[in-house]
Amino acid sequence: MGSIKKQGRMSAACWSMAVLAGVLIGASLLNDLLFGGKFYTSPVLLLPALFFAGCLLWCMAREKPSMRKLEFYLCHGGVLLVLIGALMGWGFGQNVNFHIPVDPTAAYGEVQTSSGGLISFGFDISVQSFELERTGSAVSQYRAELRLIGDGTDEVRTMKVNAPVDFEGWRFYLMDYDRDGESYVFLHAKKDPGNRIFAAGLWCVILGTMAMCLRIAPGGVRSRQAVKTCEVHEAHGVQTTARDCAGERRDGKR
Amino acid sequence: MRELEWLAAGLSLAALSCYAAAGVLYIKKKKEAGGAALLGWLFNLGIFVKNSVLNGYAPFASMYQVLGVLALCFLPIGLLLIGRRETDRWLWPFFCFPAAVPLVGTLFMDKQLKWALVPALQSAWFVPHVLSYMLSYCLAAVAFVLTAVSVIKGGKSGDLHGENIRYEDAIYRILQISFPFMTIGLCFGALWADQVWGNFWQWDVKEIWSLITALCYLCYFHWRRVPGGRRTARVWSVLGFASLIVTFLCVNLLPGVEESFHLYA
Repeated sequence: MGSIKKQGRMSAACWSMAVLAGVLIGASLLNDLLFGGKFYTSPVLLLPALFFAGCLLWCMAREKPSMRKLEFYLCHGGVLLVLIGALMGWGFGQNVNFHIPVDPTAAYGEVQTSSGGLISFGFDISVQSFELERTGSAVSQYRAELRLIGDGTDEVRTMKVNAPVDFEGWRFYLMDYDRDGESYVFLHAKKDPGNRIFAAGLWCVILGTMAMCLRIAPGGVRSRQAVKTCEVHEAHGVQTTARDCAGERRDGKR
Repeated sequence: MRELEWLAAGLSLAALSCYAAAGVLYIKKKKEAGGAALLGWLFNLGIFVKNSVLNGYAPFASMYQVLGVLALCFLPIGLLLIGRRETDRWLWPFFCFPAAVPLVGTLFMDKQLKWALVPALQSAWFVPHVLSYMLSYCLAAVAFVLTAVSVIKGGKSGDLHGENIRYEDAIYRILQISFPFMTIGLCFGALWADQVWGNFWQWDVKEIWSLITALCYLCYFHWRRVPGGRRTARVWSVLGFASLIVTFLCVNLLPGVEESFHLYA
């Protein structure tokens, strides 16, 4: 009975992933045509994602707790953490793209979003200087000195592409620059309470998947244990699937 | 520069010829097969070294460079997987022939001998992200060729008996090692994206197709555990490889690519 229920969960998991993959393929090809390019920010995407998350929760909840299944919990729980982190960022996060002049005397504490609203940082920022590095005719790197003026703090930090600046919960990214006169730079700022949860989820997925695939892989711990189990079963006359045991034995000897 | 282009073409041609010869020799069970494969790999290594020296960075940036790295991955990973086990020697041609394919591509494409590394790619995530994807792609390619051969040999029935079980086992073992690398590539990409663009996920066309590829292979692993689901699993592994090809090579033909963050040229 338990086995039938497990098969049901596994089938549901298969279908949830198949539906999600199908929706993503369809959206990738028809997003512009049917959704005006806005499918991925529309609630429609939540339906297959919820089906997927529901199956994931069901599988995790019904699995008997055991330390030997740590990798199972890591990789499945990691996906849930990623989804929770994404939802937190979507619900409670703030982010804005803006441009700011390269002028040490101009400090800004709030900026306008694309929808017209104002976002306040709770401190002031200004771009002290901007520098461009070239290799031949190609731009190899660019950097800006960002001054951060908060309550009792006044510091200047260097920001580069791939090296954002963190300050009082906000993270500032150097995105681009004024290609004509280098008089202003484009920044992206975000404050995302789900950021660390999302990142933790990704690491859990990596560790869990590696452990799950490589432990079961030929020569791995579980593979060797399975060979022993088969041998014990056979010695005691317990009926086993001949092919399974042959496979385990073959794999374990590698 | 003209001489360098000839050198690049010569190395590619020599490496792919050796890989193909090694594949044939392995099928004929000749002792020289290992030597031919090693020679091919050394020529391939020559392409890697040339690209590294010319550019001054790990050559994982342009498609020409990446194809050279991809071809380079097959033999070491085959060696790790097969080792000295006589029972697995039959797998060697499945590593040698696919190793030659990316090099055919390098012969006919713009060699872009010197390619400036754009600021977005100057990150510690760059090499691990691309390398893990290359390792996973080369294993997925081997698994796909094994699937294709097993289908041709097994006829339309695809019954899981005798020879087919041997193929089925090998495909599963290979994908079991491919998938963690694919996961690492995907997750490292997301962590890198957060560092460079301020978001783990941009719904970029390349990201979407890499997620589709991972989902297809996940379907393969899960369906394989459903009783009677092995044939469906096999279909998902083929779909996985098809979406991998879209992610790797055809993404530039898809709608929305003009807004992609993954266009660097």
